[in-house]
Amino acid sequence: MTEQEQGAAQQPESEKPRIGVYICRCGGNISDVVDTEALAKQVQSLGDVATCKVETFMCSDPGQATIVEDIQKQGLNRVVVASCSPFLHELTFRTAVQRGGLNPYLYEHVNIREQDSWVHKHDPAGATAKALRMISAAVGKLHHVEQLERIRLGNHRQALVVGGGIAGLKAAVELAGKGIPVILVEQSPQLGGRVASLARTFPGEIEGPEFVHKLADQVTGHPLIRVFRRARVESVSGFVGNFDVRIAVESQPGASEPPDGHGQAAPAEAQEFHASVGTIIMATGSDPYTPARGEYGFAEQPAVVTLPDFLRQLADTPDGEFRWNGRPVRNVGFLHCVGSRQVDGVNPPQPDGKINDYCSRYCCTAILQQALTLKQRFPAVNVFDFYQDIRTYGRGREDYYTKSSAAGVVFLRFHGDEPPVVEPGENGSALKVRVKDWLTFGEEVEVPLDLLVLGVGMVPHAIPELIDRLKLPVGADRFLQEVHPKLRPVETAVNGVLLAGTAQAPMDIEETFSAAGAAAVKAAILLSRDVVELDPFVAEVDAEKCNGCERCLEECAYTGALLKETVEIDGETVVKARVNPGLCFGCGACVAICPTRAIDLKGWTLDQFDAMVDGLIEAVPVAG
Amino acid sequence: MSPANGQATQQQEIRYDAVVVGGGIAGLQAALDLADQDYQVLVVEKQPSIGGRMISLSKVFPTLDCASCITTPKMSAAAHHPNITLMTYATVDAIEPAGDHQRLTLTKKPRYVDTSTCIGCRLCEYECPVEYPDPFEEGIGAVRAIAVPFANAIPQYAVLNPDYCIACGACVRACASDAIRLDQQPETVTVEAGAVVLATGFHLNSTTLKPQYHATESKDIISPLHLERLLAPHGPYGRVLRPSDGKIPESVAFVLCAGSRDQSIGVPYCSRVCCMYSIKQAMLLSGALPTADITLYYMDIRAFGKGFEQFYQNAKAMGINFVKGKVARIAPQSDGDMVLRVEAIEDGGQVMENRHDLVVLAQGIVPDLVMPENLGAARETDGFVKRPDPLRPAWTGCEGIFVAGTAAGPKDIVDSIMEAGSAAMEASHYLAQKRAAGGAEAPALQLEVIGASGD
Amino acid sequence: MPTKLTPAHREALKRFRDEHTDPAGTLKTYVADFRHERKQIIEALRKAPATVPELASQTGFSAERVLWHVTAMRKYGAAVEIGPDGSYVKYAYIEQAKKKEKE
Repeated sequence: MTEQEQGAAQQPESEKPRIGVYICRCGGNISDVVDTEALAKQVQSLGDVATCKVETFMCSDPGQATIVEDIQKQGLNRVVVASCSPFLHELTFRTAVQRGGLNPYLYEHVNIREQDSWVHKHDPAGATAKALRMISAAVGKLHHVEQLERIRLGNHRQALVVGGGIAGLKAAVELAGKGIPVILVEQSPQLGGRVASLARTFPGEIEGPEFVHKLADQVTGHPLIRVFRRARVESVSGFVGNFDVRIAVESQPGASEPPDGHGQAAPAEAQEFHASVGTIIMATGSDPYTPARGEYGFAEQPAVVTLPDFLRQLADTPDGEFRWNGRPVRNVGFLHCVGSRQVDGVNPPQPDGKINDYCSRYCCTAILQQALTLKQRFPAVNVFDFYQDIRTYGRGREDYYTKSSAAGVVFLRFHGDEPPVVEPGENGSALKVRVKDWLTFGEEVEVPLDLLVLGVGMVPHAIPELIDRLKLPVGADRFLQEVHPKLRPVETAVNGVLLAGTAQAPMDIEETFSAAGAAAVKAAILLSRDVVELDPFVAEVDAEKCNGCERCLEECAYTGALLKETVEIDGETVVKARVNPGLCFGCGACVAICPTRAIDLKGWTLDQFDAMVDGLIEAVPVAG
Repeated sequence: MSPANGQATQQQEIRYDAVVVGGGIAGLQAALDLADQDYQVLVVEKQPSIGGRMISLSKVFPTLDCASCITTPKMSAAAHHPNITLMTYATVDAIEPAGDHQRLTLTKKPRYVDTSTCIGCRLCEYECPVEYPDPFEEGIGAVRAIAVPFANAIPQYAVLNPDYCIACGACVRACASDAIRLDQQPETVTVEAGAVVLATGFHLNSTTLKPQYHATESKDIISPLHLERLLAPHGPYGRVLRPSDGKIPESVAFVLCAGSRDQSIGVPYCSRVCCMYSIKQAMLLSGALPTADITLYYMDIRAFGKGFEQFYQNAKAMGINFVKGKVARIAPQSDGDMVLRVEAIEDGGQVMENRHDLVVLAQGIVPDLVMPENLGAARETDGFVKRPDPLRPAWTGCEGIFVAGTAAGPKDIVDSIMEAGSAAMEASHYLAQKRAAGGAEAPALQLEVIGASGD
Repeated sequence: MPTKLTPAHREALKRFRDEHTDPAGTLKTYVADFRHERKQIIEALRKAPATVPELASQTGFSAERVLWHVTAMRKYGAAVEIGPDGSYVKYAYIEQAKKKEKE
């Protein structure tokens, strides 16, 4: 290091850096490629590295304990761990550094697994050299590190739940039960969403309206829950702990009492409300897939109906002879995977140009529940089931399959790349379905039908404005996207916004309840304290250097993150930029555009970038 | 310190807001979700380390994240949480109502190691002269009679297995901190809990349930958990070999529904995860053994979760062979291979006889908790913990006792995590109600009427 | 620093032995077999690196048992894989007895 650099470095205390570098073998994930022992020797000679150690699992307890012990016994004042992605373990090691008694931000994480050993499997020497350069960059960066404190902001300890289906209702009941006030916004006049119109749930076989009523009663009767029906989120802004929400409630023509007995009496006139909430639970749900005109005869053949329409009419059909639209019905078909498991080049794309390649999860069981009900109530009806795979997964569901088979439902298996073809019928039947049936060795079969029920999948309920306002991530399947599909299924990349139910992915009722409970617990955690804490990596304006040119304001992509402030300096009124740390995402766009280097990003300063580049270049890997 | 005054049997009574029974992924998530709300939580785990089944997996579907890489942060977070106490190597013998809370009787099994002085250095393990089949490695690897259970175990304390200890004293002498306590005895502990979450997990039913598969006759008819260890980056062989003789497999068969969807073996239900883990294992195998033939014999591919169907289609595109057909019989041959007799439904219905040198049986998930009655809960006919109220699906029907994860039915990791969150929510709801009944005040809703809107 | 056995340690060892008697000799037989097998496998490997079937035919133990031993030896640093040999993998022995004394 040059003298100049030394002078420029802002030392946490005016002490000389003593850097500990820890290299993880990751049980072979790294050390099978990178020569970790040789690497450690070379790292030892980097500037101010006091110790360098190699461990099999740095993230394990003994690995972390080594860091703590070295900080305390060797007087380390900065730490580097070279291991996996910071997404997995940066926090782990920051916490370890803190346990050792240091500010947790005196730490750098180097990813020599995803960015090195995994992508350079066939070049061990190159991977080892690259790891050295990466570590050298981190060591360089640490020479300019500052002690940072987490940002602490006030927290509005109440929640907004968007959507009054069972996911929203369940989340509201749980939060209110925990003592947290909840505002629930439902766009329709009624609570209960899709389940309210179900004949019966599976596998519990509870009537949909009864199920919803029990739940809705808990919500509407709760003093901590305010329900708005025929309402929408008019605008939303802010950040975790501090979301500002405007709710617009439509006028309720002539109604002062809610028609279903649920929800507070709606105002006769349109009204608008404002609230500040700490978290938002998105329980915006899903819609049944609407087939395109002509897709399996839909909207062209009157004898083609969707499953939701069928189950409502079946529930209303009296026992005796099974009739549909006045005509007696002998042969009924159920077709699986309509709008799900679509195949590129086979199924026509959706309006956005994509196909629905996902499985909708609920439909197999829902179809077989209806097929079985039909067969039990009208044994004379022949039932044909066109499927790819019967996905009656889990307990209680397989029963529908075995019972349907026993009741005489005829199964025909098609392949997704050769879906059945629906055509007008002959000889008095309304339809005929042509299908290559792989249960009879790929034979082409023609099945005459009086009625075909399309087992339509789930598509997310469209909420473009909310997605835009909250900058919510959306997956390729158009459902709202979670942070991690395995470990963090109800959190989103937007801190404080949580997902409950089928807004995130297709689910059945039981799974929706789990998701809603999981979203509620994350909300309860966020709302359990008076303050919210955020990472300190936000922009900061040096008011002395800022010339008020406002170019940063134009560049900033996050509404409200950069503000224009008029201040008096020596009797002169001047404009300066100021950062709202709650809304700043630390993207650095303002830093790059600033002509006077007046803005810097905490934890990622321009000096640190310079030092990292120097570190990358200066480290000369030794061959061998 | 002399070993004689180590840990004698003693009675303790400690009160927690919640006790979580089981330190697998469901239990840990439930514990974290309660502790993050400032409840005091005790996690009781019967194994010497937390982490459950998940910590022994290779990678997870459909993200293909390395399992130990994503499990250790949860384990570590629980271990270091100021509101969580871990009690490993302990069993819960009984849960009984006591006033408005639950009283749990626990037994701490002797580790023969003083955890207050053990530093997990493994010097005892290096000196121990006896090795036995390692339960963590499904028996394929070896572990010494005293050992730290596995590399990323939490807590990192040695544990001695008295079944294999010859009492030679080598560990006692090797220990740098005089932590070996050969006179340790089981210890009974009573704790009180405001709420209990049962997260007791699952095990797989036996490969030998179906005599027609002849799993007793070949070491190369293996369980999927066994294959997980073979595929793990730090697994026992360091690569995939067949267990009978160390041969690098050339043709691997996966037999789906080998322990589920079959009334005759007492598992009528679908175990939910076998299709996906088999597809994942097939994918990992094709990476580990690029020249091997890999075939999945299935009835229905149940790729129902988020991203699952796409994962399945990727596996097909990778060249993994999917054959729809029920495997009727597995016949081990004298050369070590197995011949599978299958009716190939999509191939003219002919009966095929296919030769493979490694066979993986996708066994069914059955509950680990055999007697939920002892823990205050009831069970369904299939043995899983009963949950009578569909509106409170985490509740067992017994005051203050909740259930999460595979104790309540087969499910994958993400569904276990969601259910654990939900159980933690229902438990905290319950605890808050008790507090409110005690006079705690609730905040009021803050809402401002702006007035009539435009129209 | 290793621990020096005190009378209290010896008392604890005795108590452990008293509580864990092996009347059927199961453990004794297991340990005797284990040692015998390990010794034979080490001797075979000392001559030359070998695959599991080669070791099995040299020692007369089952291939499965040999694989288990080699796996254990790899874990505890007494054997190393030196690469595939046809359909099998060759293992070599690592002499290590002296290493300990140095420390």
